[in-house]
Amino acid sequence: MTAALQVRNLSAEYSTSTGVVRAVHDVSFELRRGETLGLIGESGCGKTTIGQALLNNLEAPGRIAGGQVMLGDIDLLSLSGKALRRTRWDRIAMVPQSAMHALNPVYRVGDQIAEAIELHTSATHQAALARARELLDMVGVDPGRARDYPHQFSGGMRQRVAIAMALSCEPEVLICDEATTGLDVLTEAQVIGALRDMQRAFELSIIMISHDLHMIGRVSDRIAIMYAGRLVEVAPAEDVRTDPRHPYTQGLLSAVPALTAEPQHLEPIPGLVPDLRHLPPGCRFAPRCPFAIDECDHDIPPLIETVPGAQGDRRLVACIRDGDLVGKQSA
Amino acid sequence: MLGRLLGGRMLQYVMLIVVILVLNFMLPRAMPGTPLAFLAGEDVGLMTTEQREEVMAQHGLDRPLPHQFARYMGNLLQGDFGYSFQQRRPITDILMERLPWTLLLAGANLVLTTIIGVLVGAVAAWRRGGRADAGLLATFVFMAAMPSFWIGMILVAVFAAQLGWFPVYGAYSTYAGLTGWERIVDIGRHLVLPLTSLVFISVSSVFFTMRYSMLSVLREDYISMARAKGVPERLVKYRHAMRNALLPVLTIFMLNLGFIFSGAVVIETVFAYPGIGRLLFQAVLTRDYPVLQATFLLITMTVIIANIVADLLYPLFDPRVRVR
Repeated sequence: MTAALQVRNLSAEYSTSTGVVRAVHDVSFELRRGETLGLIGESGCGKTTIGQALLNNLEAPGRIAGGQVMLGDIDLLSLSGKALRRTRWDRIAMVPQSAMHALNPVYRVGDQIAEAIELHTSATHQAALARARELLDMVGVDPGRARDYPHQFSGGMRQRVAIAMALSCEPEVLICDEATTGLDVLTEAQVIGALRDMQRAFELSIIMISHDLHMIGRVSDRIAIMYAGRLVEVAPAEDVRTDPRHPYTQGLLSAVPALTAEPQHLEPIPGLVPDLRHLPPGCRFAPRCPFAIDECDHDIPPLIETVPGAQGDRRLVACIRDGDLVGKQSA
Repeated sequence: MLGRLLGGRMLQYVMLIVVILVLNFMLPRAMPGTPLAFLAGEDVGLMTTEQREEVMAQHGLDRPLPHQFARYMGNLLQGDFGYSFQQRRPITDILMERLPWTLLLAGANLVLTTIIGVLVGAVAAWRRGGRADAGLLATFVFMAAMPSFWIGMILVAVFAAQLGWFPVYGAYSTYAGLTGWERIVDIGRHLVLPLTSLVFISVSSVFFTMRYSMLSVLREDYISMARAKGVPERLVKYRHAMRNALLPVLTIFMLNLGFIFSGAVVIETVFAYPGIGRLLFQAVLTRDYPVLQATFLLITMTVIIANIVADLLYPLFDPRVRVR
């Protein structure tokens, strides 16, 4: 089975007045066909930059510094101009964090969805508009509201509109960047429900970007954990919950309360996320890591295959102490 | 509904207009000296007692205030703004004679300023930080900082006095007896220098508003989203960015529209252009209070009307202002 999306050695950086900041460093992963891959990390770790880079839509002062984003045998990052415009949205689309800001306030939502269809197909405006209404209906929005403007929708309804817009050209890959952040839990559940239905209907492969471990844990098949611009662990969602390998993942889990468990003691990760301009030379998590040894400061640990967990699927971790620590993590 | 919102706002405007009319009525009566001095100016000293009483009676100034107010309102409703003792003519005639010239000068300025400011402002924003942007920014700061009388005088000195390309003053050649096409060309030639000066000093506000507005719109997520959707760059600029960036410019346009009669006072004076602005200036110099009073009323009403028009137009351009 081929991957829906293959990301190889992706790096992205921002030029700032105080120098170049590499927000995404040598990130590689694959998105399997039909799966939901969660991408999780703290604010500023490079999640959103990855999302934009996957669409080759990083705006200045941001810049892709290297790598490949393979959609089948096309490298999206090598495309530009018309070829890029044609491929993007047709095969890979995005649901943005805040549809409030991602929808143009002066145009009707139906027209905004139809615009994408018209640009990618030979459909007339009427046909595109009819399709837009169908899409709205599919994601649970009254098709009659195609004539409404973005400000007339509630937060949850707006996210559904954004989903309909992302699906307008029936893409293979959908990137959801904090697509449910800021919604109340009920609305979040509804929006995720709509996404799941669409995943089945369109055979979508989805990348869910979020900082919300609970939500990601519920919806993802596999989870990639990011820290300071690098991936530190990639594993099946269930393995991440029951058997986290990387010390950062362990810290992340013990810092988040479980809804179902007994009242428990939460352990915050000591220290702060490093400044991307002044990174430690070796492992970026080493200064905050309870298991760090001197060697951790020497080289950047590569993301390599490790012993599979209970799920039996292959898993990757970027920690030189991985072998020593198996079975020793704080429970 | 839209009607109810506008109804409420219109009621506010009606109340505002009543207040302005009352103030305008009270103005001469609140000034030191008799209303007669206000009407006739310094001539009052030369009048005999009989003459004074005659003028007082003629204008109803010997009647009680409510009567005077009713008469004042009645006259205004009939388009009668009173009488200028200085010019010995009805003020309505004077205003009607001046209005077309100011409308021509200030109207042309409003149109040109908006078009130039919007286009150049948008281009500067699209090339933010580039050479063109820096050059335009410097140019428009320079233009904004220029005193209006000074640029007027420079233009007169160079293009009228030195080169002789354009007339020095006025709106048309007085005794040439030109008709038809020749008259239009003559008026056009007289218009060039005052219009250029006016555009020079007023275009910057539109430019800066448009540039800033475009820059903030370009940072919006929906612009990035439009690009992601596959919208070509040209359409991103015009269909998605321009439409939104124009909204603050509409506000500036409406403000300028409100000041259409009073915005050109200095330029009309420098070029002896026979518009409302110059009338105002002359009335101040000669203490022609009735003319001042009438001009102020005209200017105030224009500002209010421009506001009303803005309230009516906004919902057409920005759906967020519409009431569900």
